Order: sequence, then structure tokens, then C-alpha cells
Amino acid sequence: MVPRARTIGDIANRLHLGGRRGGPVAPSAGWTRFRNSELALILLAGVLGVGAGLGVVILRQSVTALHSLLFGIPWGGHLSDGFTLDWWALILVPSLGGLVVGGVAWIMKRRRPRDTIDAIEANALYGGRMSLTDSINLGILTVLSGGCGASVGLEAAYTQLGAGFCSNIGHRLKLRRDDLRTLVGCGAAAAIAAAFDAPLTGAFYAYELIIGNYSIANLAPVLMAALAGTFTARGLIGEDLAFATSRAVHLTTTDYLIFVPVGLGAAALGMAVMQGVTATEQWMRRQAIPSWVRPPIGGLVVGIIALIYPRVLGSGHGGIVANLHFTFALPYLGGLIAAKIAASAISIGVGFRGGLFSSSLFLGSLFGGAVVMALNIVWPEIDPDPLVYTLVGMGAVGAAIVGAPITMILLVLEATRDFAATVGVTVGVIAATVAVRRWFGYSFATWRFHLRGLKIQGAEDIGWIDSLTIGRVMRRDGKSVPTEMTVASMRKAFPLGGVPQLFATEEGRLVGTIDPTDLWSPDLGGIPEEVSAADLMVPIAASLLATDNLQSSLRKFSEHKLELLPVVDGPDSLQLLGYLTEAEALKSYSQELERHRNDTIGEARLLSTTITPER
Amino acid sequence: MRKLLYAVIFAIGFAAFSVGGLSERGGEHDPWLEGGALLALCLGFVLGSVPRAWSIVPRAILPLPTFLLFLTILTDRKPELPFFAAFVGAAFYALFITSYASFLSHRNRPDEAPDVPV
Repeated sequence: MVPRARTIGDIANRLHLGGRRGGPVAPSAGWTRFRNSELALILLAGVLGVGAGLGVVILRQSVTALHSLLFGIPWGGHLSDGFTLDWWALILVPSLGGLVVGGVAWIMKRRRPRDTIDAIEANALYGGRMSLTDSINLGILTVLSGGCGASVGLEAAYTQLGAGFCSNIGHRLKLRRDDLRTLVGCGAAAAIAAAFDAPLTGAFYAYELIIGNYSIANLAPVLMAALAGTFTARGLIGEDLAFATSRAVHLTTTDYLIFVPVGLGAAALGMAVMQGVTATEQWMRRQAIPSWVRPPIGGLVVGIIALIYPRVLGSGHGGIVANLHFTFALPYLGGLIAAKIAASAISIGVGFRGGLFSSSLFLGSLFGGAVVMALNIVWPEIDPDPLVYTLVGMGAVGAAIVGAPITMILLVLEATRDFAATVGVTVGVIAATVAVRRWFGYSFATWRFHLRGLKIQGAEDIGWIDSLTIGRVMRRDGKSVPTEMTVASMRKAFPLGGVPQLFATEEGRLVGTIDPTDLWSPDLGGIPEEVSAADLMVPIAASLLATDNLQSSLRKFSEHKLELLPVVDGPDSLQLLGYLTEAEALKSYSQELERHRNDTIGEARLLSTTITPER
Repeated sequence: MRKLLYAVIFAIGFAAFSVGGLSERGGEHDPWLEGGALLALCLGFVLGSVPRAWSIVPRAILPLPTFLLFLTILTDRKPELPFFAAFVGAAFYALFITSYASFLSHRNRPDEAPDVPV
């Protein structure tokens, strides 16, 4: 009796998508057609986008339920809306919630000690491979963190869960590396699109941050996923314009000129936030406090900050909307900016899970509001429109911290549907992005990678370099001979042109290389019966390991000025496995580079007619 | 110089935080006294963050103006806060800001500087 297929993995196995058991088998024709079909990938992205959108709705509603239960916030309201909360709730809920977060994180860490790989890291280094279990764990911790009032955004959990889900399905379906990376982008796109009811924002979030580029090949799958995520969220919780504006804005040339310094100021604020978070994390790490105790202490600190500024609690969505429609006084705005930075830095620094996406939007809207208040004092003649300056500040600080300028511009366009405001935001976003690139060089995500010592500047795939090992490209047609073997014997065993390379071994250990043509050299000293391999060999100056990557082999060729290097199993055992020439290493490297480039832009053999085997 | 600028930025942040809190209170207050406490807080924080042995002196003084400043913010908060909670909250702020100045003074020492561009 044939067992029922229960999981996607089972289905993939029953369809023999990756070939039957019993060793490497060529993929079936049907599966190859599926893998090569753009339409199949687009459809798959759409289906998975629904799942990612559903995940966003579940996370969001869970946090809303916790806010309602713990703080008494009306359903659909936000913590940062400015509700009057009991002072003891402000203190107790974040600190006790921190205790729960710390305990759950401690248990999770004991069960799965490794770090969670996020979508950018997965696409840059691991070909899109992410753990769904780790992603779900992160989602749970983020819901608990956001639910108890920690000053963190939920978008990091949305994208982690969406991308992790898509990566898991793509891996089970044995998709190719580049398709898997695209699917990770699809998951993130669907999640952000569902979160903000903004499909273009979601799609460009994926292009700018998760995939690292935009191409015709990934246009349709990512957009399909973003649309699917948007419509799923709309279907379940209704249309939700994140920052709806009630009136059109009017801008003058002076306004556009002022947006440039506003963008520069936003960049300075963004850099201060990133540095502040880092400094606070370092401060927390220096304290001899167990990791599970830090969140309750941090929760207490955030609660005490909230005694003065209750709007710092939560992600800040309610605060953004309030700031767009009402104007706070300048001293309060300045204080709230400082308080929000401190609360976000402490929340992330002590181990609450979440991101800075919505916090950066909130900070930016406050910054824009503060600029308007300041302009009203020093230059009242220009009569700045608070709404558009708030949007410009929001987009510019968001671009500075998140590192996704087009995403921020589209977010304003889709969330407000105001084109004039979007053009103004574009000016501020460009100024902020250029300034951060010039004076800081990182977004918040890449800054944290940098601090962890990872060589990631973005989601551009660099992991393929590590997977291109010498073992994959080395030649195995060389022959080894014992050092005592005479030239006459070698001539008999290896006729002229019969072997491309010879290696001399002593008790099985590699000791030198022999050029086969030297066996027939007229300059050979002595008679062939008396000259041995030991006399002809060139002692080895360097060798390669099969597990090294090709890039490191090219460095070795250059360092030792050699054209050929033997490949051995280990630096001590020196058992010969094969060999590699510099020309072949360069050829393999350029072919792989070209293949990767072609896959990225979605065009086969765009740059040359080289045919490379399908992996 | 860059490290000092870093401390100044944090001091501006604490000043903005305090001014915002002061502006939200009800009732009549003495602006000179508050201004003095605020100035003492900012100066004490910047000087207390300097990586020199003498910076312990401003750090020793820093808790008092910080405590008084935040006590007035929290006691006049709307809605009202019980005095013991305001007292503990103000003491917490004094401890927090002094502790952060101490951290920066250590962090800014060349031998303890983090291995990242600041």
C-alpha cells in the first residue's frame, strides 16, 4: 500500500523531484521543466505570499490581543496612541513581560543554541537557506516583546517569518540557489506589503534589502507575492491605510530646498540612533547580569521612561498617526525623540526581540514635526505645512536607518496616496541616504553585521564563493609515483602524452611534482635506469585543501608564483587527491561568476556562449 | 574630540528628554531653579563622560541635580503619581544617567575603545 503524502517534503520525494534514491540521479524531465519555468515560480510565489500575509495577520492580532489584555487598550488601538494608562501598569507589564521574554528566550537558546539567520544574511551567505523553527521562535519572542510594551517594531518578525516560511518550502522543493533567494525576497515582500497594505513598498523592500538587486527575472515573483500578501491581510482585517492623510498638500520651491537640510538632519538623527543602540548594547553586555535577567530590567527601565513619555511603548504606529494629524509642542517633541531613541536602544540592547523599522518611522515623524515647530519660530513667513514636513522626516529617517530609500518613498506614496507629498519626501530621502552613505556607510542591519564581524554589505549573494570549493573543480587525472621509481620504469608506465601530471610520493605522502615531459628530456642527466623520480621532482612549496574555496586558491597561486598546486586531504597527512592549475582555477572562477551573474539578471548566456552544467 | 562630541550629543539628548518632561507638568514652577538643575545635569554628564581620573568628581555631583529635576517632573505628572513612586523613579533616573556617564568615560578610554568606528 502506498503511504499517503503528508508534507511537502513527502510530496517532493514521491514525485522524485530531486531524483530517486541510490546516489546522484539526473532530475526528472518534469521537475527540470518545473524548475526552469518562470510561470511556476510566479505561481509558487503567489501561493507562498498568501501564507506570509496570514503570518503577518496572526502576529499583529496577537500583539493587539496582548495590548488589550495587559494594558486595556481598545481593540485596534495602539499603545502609542496616547491612552492614559495606570502608572503601575506602565512599570509592571514591561518588566514582568521582560521576565517572560527572558525565560522563553533562555529555554529556546538551550534547545537551539545557534544564532538565528535573518533574511539578508541568508541571501548573502547561505543561498537563501533559513530555519523555519528559528523564524517561528523569533516571531513568538517578538510578539511577547511587543505585547508587553517593549519599544520595538514587529516588521523584523514579519519578514523573518515570511522569508523563513518561503525558504523552507523552496528548500523542500529543492529549488535552485537563485530561485530560493528570490523566494526569500518574496516572503519578506509579502510580509511588509501585508503589514502596511502597500504592495509596491513590500516589493521594493525585498529588492533593496533582501535580494540586493532588481531584475526582470525577480520582478514578477516578488510583486506577485507582495500582492498576495496585501490581499490576504486586506481580506482578513480590512483595508488599512497606514498613514492616511485627510487633505492634499501644497509645496513651494522653498519647501523643496528646505527638505535637503531636513534630510541631512534626518541622517544625523539616524546615525545617532544606530550608534546609540550599539553603545547601549555594549553597556548592557558589560554588566555581569545573566541574559535572562536583562529583559525584565530593561522592561522596568522602559516603563520608567513611559511614566514621562507613555508614547514610547510599542512600535509607534499610533504615535505616527497622532503626529500626522495633531501637532505636539516643540519641547515635548524633542523630549519624545530622545525618549524613543533611549527606549528602543534599551529594548533591543537588553534582549527584547524586534526591529527599528517602525521606530525609525515614528522618530522621523517626530523629527519632521520638530522642524516645523522650529521653522515657525525662526522663519514664520514660509508657513510650513506640518503634514508634509512630518512625512519628509519620516521617510528620511526611515531611509537613513533601514537603508531602503525607494521603499520609504513608495511607503509614503502608498500610505498617503498623495503624489505631491511623495515628491517632497523623495528630496529628503535622497539627501539622507547620500549623507549616511558618505559619513557612516551602513544601514542598521549591515551595521550590526559589521559589529559581528560578518563581511556583508547587503544582500548581494557572496556565499557562492564559499560553496565553490577546490574539491569541486580540481583535476583527478594526475598520477603518483614513488620517489624511488626510475625514469625508465616511468617511461614504460606513462608514454609521452599519456598522463598530464605526475606527483612523487614517499610512503604515501606527497613530496614533489614532476612534469611528465621531463621524462623525455634530452638534457636528462645520467641513464634512465639510474635516474629516479626523486631526482626529477620539484619539492612541493605549497598545497591546496579540497575544502578551501577557489578564491583562496587564486591567492595561493599568486603568493607562491606557481602555475600548478597539488590538492591534498590535510596539511599533515598530505595524501594526494588531485591538482589544480592556475589557468583552470581562473576559468572555473570566471565561469561561476558569469553563471551567477546570468542567474541574477535572469538571462542565460548573456555574456558569452559558455555552457555550464546545471546544478 | 570626537569622543567628547559623542558625550555632548548624549547630553543634548538627556537635556531634550528633561525639557520635554518639564514642559508637560501642571502648576507653577521656578524656571531659574529648573534651568540651573538642567545645566548642572548636562555639564555634569559631559564632564563625567571624559576619560580622565578627575571625571569622578562631576559624576559624584551628577545624581543630585538629576534626582531633583526628575522628582519635580514625576511629582507634577498628569495623571498623578504617588510620591513614593515618583521618588523611586527620580532615584532611578539619577542612577541611570550617572551610570551611563561612567560607562562612556570607560568606553572612551583608548585601551577600552570598542573595535568599531565611532
